[in-house]
Amino acid sequence: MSAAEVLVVDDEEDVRVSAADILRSEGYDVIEANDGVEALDLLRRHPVSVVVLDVRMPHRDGIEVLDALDEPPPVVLMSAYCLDPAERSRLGDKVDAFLKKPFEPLRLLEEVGAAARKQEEP
Amino acid sequence: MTAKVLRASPLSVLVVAVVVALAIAGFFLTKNNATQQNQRLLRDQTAQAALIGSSEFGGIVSEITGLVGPAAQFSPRSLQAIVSGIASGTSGAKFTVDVFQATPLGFEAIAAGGPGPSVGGAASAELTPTLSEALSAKSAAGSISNPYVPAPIAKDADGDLRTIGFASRVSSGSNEVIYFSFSIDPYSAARTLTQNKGPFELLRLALYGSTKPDSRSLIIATTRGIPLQGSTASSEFAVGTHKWLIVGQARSPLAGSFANAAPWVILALGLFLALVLALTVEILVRRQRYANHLVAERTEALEQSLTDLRDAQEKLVRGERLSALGEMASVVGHELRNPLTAVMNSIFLLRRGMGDQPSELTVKHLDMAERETSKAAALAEDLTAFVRPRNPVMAQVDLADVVNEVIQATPPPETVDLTVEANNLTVMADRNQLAEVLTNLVTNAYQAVPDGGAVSVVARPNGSGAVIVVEDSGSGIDPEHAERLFEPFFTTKSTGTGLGLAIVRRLVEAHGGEISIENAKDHGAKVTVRLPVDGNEASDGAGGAGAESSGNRRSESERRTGDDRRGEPASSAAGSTESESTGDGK
Repeated sequence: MSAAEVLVVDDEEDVRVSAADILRSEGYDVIEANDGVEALDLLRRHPVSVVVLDVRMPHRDGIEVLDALDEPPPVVLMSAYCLDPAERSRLGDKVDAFLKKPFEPLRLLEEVGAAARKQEEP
Repeated sequence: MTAKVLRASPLSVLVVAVVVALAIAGFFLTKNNATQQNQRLLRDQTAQAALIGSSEFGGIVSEITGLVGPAAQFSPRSLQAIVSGIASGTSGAKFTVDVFQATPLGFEAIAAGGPGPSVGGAASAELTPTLSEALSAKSAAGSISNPYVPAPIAKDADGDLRTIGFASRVSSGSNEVIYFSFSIDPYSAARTLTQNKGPFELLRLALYGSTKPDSRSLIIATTRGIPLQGSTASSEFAVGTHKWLIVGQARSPLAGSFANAAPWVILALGLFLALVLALTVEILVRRQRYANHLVAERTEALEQSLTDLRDAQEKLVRGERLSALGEMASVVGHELRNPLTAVMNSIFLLRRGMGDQPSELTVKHLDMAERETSKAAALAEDLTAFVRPRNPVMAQVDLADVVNEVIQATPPPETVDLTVEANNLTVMADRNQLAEVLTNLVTNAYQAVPDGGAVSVVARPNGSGAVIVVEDSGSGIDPEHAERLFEPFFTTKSTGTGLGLAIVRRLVEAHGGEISIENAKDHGAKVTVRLPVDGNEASDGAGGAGAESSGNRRSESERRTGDDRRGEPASSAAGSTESESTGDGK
């Protein structure tokens, strides 16, 4: 199985790097973005299998990134905040999983794994 | 109440007593004055009557004296002619003039006129002492001073007339005595006695032929009531050698009518004044009392409103503090989450990278780091849970079911003896939130008996609602802390976030219920939760837009909140927080 590419987007460097490292340790090909703008830029140039996306970020936040993408790859949202139910239902299918920080690293692997498989299947 | 209204104040009673006493004193003073005035006037009038009596009888005596000198010159025969002349020349039969000569056998009349003994007759036994007295009366030789003595006064046959007689030696050294007498009606004589109206009109008078007012010697009286009773005055005067006595009594008060009326006027005025003063004082006293009452009432109202104000202020302060605390809790709760995520990730990576044979120290410290991170995560959860507005989603819930579920999910430690008594009672509540409340309370109770003890959970109907009582056999609470225990971050132990009961209270109040904590009768703490059956106040109590998904709400409520009152969160609670807080439906 070729390594799936995962984009990890979080303005918190330690969170981003540690999450990226965990995914790398599991064999994913991980690229990182510091904020929404950077993430969109990367995604336009370089499609990935899964996006691990923080919600609250400077410049453009996670929700804006999702809104900006017509056909986004599977997305695992993570946030220190709860997601507004209205927002959540609006996003609908665009979000595959939601992880509330702090989360068990294994959960991250599970959700990313599931999202990656979903991406491969069709 | 009526008795109280009718009861006079001591002050007015005192005023009445003083004024009445003064009035009575005034009454007696003026009365006494009037009496003295009356007495003085009575004495004056009596003396005047005595003077009149003295001059009247003195006149008679003078007339008789005028007869005696010449009589000594005459023989018994010529004397008889004179005597007869006098007796017939005066008022007739009422007058007697006799001349007696003393003999060894007694007194023998040698001349006689008017009724009485005839010439040659003996003097009566009654008259003899009078005649003897006249004969032996001291007198200067040849003179006729003090020649008369009164005859015994005796009632006449008709019972009313009295006889007054005067006897005298005819001449010094002779053994002859002239006797003059007349009869008067003592009760009418006073009027004929004198034309002077003064004392006789004003007084009742009694004239006695001696200085003692005895009835035997009564000569004249202007009234039948003799001897005179009550207040009298007396005056002596001399008729011949004898002293006579006149006793007077006022027919009516002699002093002016004002002097006599004055005491009564004073008394009446005094009593009236007392009444007026008493009424005035009473009115003033009552007004004062009423004013005091009003002041007291208003003071009380003021104190009450002050208390209300203080309470309101306290609430406000508490509200503000809670709001500030909430803001801070929110920020801290969220800011902790990113570092915690990074640390948990790092620990995960470290475990992965430490190979097959990690050192014991590495494992120990990774475990420790993981444990402490879990605690921090639990704190972050508590903080967020405390701040987040959570609208309960109301549904019919069987209280017994929820209690049993919670006990099952949170079983007591082996050392705890748990008693559960839950009625099947349907309440309107958010099932998850209710479970969270119960879990929290039960966990607290377990922790209150760290060395073993009893915990009881009772859920039963209470009026129109339900009551849940969780009791433990621990050391109880300090009653002073009872209310503060529900404040966020208030904890009696060093470890523990102090948020558990604050969250519980929020949830209970969001259900329209109440929570209180107190010491159980014999020991330990007793938490009472009262829930209304319909829970209709719930939507008001929770406030704010629900900011989380129902999925998260579920995971929140299943999380076991750490302790606030007893201390650190149970390790199982922390573990649960860690694993469940990430839960999310796909």
